[in-house]
Amino acid sequence: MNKLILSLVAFFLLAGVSSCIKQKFDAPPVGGQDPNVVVNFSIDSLQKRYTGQPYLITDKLIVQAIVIADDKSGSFFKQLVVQDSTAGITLLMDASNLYTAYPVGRRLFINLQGLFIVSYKGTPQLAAGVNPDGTFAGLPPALFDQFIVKGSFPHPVAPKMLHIYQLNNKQIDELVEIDDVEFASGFQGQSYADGFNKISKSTTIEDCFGSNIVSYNSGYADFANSLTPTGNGKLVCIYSTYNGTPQIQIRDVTDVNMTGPRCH
Amino acid sequence: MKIFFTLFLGCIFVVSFAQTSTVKGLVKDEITQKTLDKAVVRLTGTTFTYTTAADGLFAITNVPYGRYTFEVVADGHVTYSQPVDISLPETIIGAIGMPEGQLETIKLETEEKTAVESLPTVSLSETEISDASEESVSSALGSSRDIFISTASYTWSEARFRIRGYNAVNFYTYMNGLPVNDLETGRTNWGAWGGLNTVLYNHESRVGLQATDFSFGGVGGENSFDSRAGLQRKQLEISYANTDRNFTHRLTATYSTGVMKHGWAVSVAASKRWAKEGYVPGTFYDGYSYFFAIQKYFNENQSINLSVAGAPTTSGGSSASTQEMYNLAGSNYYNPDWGWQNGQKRNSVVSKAHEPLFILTHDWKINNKSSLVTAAGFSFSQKSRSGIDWNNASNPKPDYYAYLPSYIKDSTIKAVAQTEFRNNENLRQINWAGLYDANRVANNETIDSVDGVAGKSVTGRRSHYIVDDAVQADKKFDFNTVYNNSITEHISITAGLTYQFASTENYQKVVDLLGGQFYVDVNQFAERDFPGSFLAAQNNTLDPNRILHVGDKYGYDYLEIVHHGAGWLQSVFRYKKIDFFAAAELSGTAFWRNGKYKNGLFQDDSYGKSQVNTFINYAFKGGVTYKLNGRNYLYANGLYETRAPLFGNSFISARTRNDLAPNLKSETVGSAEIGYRLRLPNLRIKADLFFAQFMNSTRTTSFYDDDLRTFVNYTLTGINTRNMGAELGVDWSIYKGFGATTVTSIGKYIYTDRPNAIVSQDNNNASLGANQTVYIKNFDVAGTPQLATTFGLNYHSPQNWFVSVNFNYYDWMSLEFNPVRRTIAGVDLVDQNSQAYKDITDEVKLKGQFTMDVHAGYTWQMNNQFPGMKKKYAMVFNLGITNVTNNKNFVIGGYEQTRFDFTNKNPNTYPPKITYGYGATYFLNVAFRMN
Repeated sequence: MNKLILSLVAFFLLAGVSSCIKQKFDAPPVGGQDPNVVVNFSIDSLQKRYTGQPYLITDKLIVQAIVIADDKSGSFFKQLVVQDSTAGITLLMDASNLYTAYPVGRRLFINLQGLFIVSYKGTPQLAAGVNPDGTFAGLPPALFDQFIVKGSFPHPVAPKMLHIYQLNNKQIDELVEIDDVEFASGFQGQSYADGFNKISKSTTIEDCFGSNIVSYNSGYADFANSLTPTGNGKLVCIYSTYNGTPQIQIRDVTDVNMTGPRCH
Repeated sequence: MKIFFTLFLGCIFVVSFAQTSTVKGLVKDEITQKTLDKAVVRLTGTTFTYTTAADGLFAITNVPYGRYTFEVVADGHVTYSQPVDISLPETIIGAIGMPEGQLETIKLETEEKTAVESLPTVSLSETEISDASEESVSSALGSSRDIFISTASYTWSEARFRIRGYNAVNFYTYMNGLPVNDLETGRTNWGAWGGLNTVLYNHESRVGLQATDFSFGGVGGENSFDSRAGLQRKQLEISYANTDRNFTHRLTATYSTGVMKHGWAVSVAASKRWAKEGYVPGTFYDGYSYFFAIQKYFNENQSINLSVAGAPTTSGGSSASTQEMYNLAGSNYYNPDWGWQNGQKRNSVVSKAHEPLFILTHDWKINNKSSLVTAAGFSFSQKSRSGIDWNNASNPKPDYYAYLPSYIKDSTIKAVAQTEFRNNENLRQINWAGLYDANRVANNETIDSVDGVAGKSVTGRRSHYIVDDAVQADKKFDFNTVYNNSITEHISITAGLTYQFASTENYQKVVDLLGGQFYVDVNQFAERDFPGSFLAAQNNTLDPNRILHVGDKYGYDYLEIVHHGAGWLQSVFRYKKIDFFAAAELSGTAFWRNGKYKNGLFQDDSYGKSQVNTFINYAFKGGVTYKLNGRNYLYANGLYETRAPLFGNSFISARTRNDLAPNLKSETVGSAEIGYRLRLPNLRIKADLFFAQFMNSTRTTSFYDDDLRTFVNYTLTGINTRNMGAELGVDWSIYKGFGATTVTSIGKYIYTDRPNAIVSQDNNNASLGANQTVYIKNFDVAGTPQLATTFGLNYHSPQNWFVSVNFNYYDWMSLEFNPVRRTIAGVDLVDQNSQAYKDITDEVKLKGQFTMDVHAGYTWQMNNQFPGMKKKYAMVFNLGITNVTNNKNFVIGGYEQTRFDFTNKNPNTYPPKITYGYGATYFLNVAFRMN
């Protein structure tokens, strides 16, 4: 019996000496601190570099911008729209669920060296390359961290309050708010798009002064089957052009607040 | 050689399983007449053995009647051997005088390396749910004296060899008279007593269809362990091992009293195995084991033993990946399951298991002719495997196909991405910081109708990523009783009754919210597919939109309940030249599912008790042995049986519903073998041919599909396979301690017909494919080399050391194939004569591989250096080096991805995931023994 106790004691002493395998993990510090990076360029200057052909940026240029549209609702897909104090631009990224890492309101620092400025139906975009078939290649996930540094969050961007007739190329890919507008008759109370068959729809927004503009709604958006409002009010959206035709795109239904009486 | 006969009288208790005998005697040095210590006495070709203590006495118990070759091996003496015919309850060999001479040291030490633990495990959270452990015989049985079994279970485990190509369900395992195969999977959970080799030396392993006196027997064979306290060698042993495989350190302590005064015996063992990081990066190991047995001999005829064994283990795993990732990582042991967090490697696939097993064994020698052994046992276990669960977010696996350079079309960008992957380890591993970030930035959400209550809402940061556990908790109860009676000198019968019950609860559990505040118990995929329906998206409509915190069950929760009962009868006839036997078994199995959740997609079919599935099965077995003489014999055996399907294979998606595989029926097996055995003192040969045909097997395997974000289940019915082959084991002691061995298993294991496939998903009631014929006739059964051969050389020195080297070759291995590719849909519109067609349908064969291993050992009998010590002390050193040539190109397993590029019909879009065997590794064990 003594032998038994002795051996058990010896064993546990030896076992105690051994290293314990710790598997308790602390949560890492909350991300979202602005890095120590010198911003030496602006989106406005970037767009001016485009001369008609896909343009490869070779200089070490860095811009800082805030995300104004992400892919959370599905309205935008595999892209982010970012805006700095000078202009806005679309960033093509070949992945889904970008919003979990790059949500609306997050500041990003973009290393432009190695990216291409391209033009999609007249709207400037940043791409990783041009495919043989002419389509633009988005940045692959493997290279996200190399080109985009995640900054602090949140930085709400105040939309520019403008009337429809005031919208011009300067506001391409910027966050704007147009007030006193309504869905044109024929487009009010209809579904934004066809969410069942994933077909997009172009609707018309008009103001009380007779100006109107196309509102492009993606069939993949989570609000595709929701009905457009019948009232008049304000609309927050991203402005761009498509082959010269001005258009706006909403990010989700919280961008829409049209409950007042119609003018037409 | 003169032999002095001395009658031996003593108080050795007789413990018998069947009509058995106790073989007694005394070993002495012929010249000095001093009794010999540490002489190993054995019956060759069996595991009956006894090692003498200083008094030279031996008593081998429970030897079934029959003819044997009796052998004594002692250091510095010539091996003694004589044929012996055992037919009385007590066989007295007498005193044996051993002349001086060469010796053969028994290799008593083996490294511990259970087949499951030694190899990187495939992550189950997103790949196959089953088939992680198909090993039929644990390599803990490497200490088996049968050269074929020890090679097949130990040496060949590096190639995931399966004996005769059979699945593990075909091998039955008994512990102290209790059947311990898992009732749900049919397999033996070797991990449940990992680390307890020191108390499991007493075992019998058989391959084949011969009769046993403790079990009707499996198609492949049986393993029987006897860990009862009275049979453990009386000693204290403490050992430390250092290695570089799944664990890096091992400490064990074993103490057994042997049979003491008043008939009590106690045996205790404890072991700890650990590794901060194992051979594969990111893996870790933390395992304890404990064992306790107490036995009371009431008299010569009855004893009772209680044993408790358990091995609580926590380990970090690894997953197979594609060759592209191995190339980018610069290592064939790249592991996608871990990532850096706060300077530590955090593994996402953590496995925990603890399965304590209690067995009570009653052993009763009723009279000279009959005995009854009864065992009852219960075990309750908790097993879990973690993984990352995500919702409305990107796949967190770093080797997800859409993140890899191979997915990028533009060659310039692809090249840049390849360089990034090669240089940046963080890109190849899990980005834990990114997961926390996603759970803390912009994920505020409001969940309405929480618990189905209108107006009840919860707002907070809803995690996009969590760590979850897939848990299996079970309770098992087993009962087994075996009666043996030698009715006459020639005829004996065995009868047995078994009852087994298991109830297993399977569920998912939240482990870590990774910086978020809550998770929600909904099926997000159904949310997307059925946007109008609130209930369809619920994992449990009885508590919809349930808010989850750490520790909460979610996802699925169901019970598997299985009952099994069997009765068998066997009759063995023994004559001078010929033995034959016949046996029959009748059994019944009933199982059902009991769902605790009412799944929103299967509301009528998920909650509560499913239909009870019952199967009545029968089996017949018979054989004949022709004994040319005491040393060689020929045998032929056959078996025919029907078997109930296993629970796990019968339900197409047990996680979500009660649906069964169509036309569920029992499987049929027919098997036959003919063989030859030779047993000379210095040469042992076993050679046999075997055949087995399995008909109407049902198999359900589940794979996690990253795109569909759910488990996809493949239920194959009507599977017919045939396994045919030959086995050879030669163990030759050539001259003066030099010996050679050769062991070969060569076979052809194929699918003989085309099964039917039903493909279903867990999170959608739409079937992905019903009643598809799978064109796999003549495909090789995957997952094992169909050719394995070893040639070994060994030398045993009279100075108590030995060395041995093995040269091994494995071939005829193939990759686990994706059945969906071999269907009409899989080759739709593909030109049958094109290379593309062949690429899609041909089975992928793996290359043959060569390895080499070396073992050496030395026993220091300390009493020789320090005479006059009262007790016997010894230190045993053992070193084993596996894969000496460091072959790191050995693909030991893998599977074609279930994801298949139907659009382009290109099998290379999603290449197979493969696993490589370890390079050169070592195992060094030092043990101190005192008795």
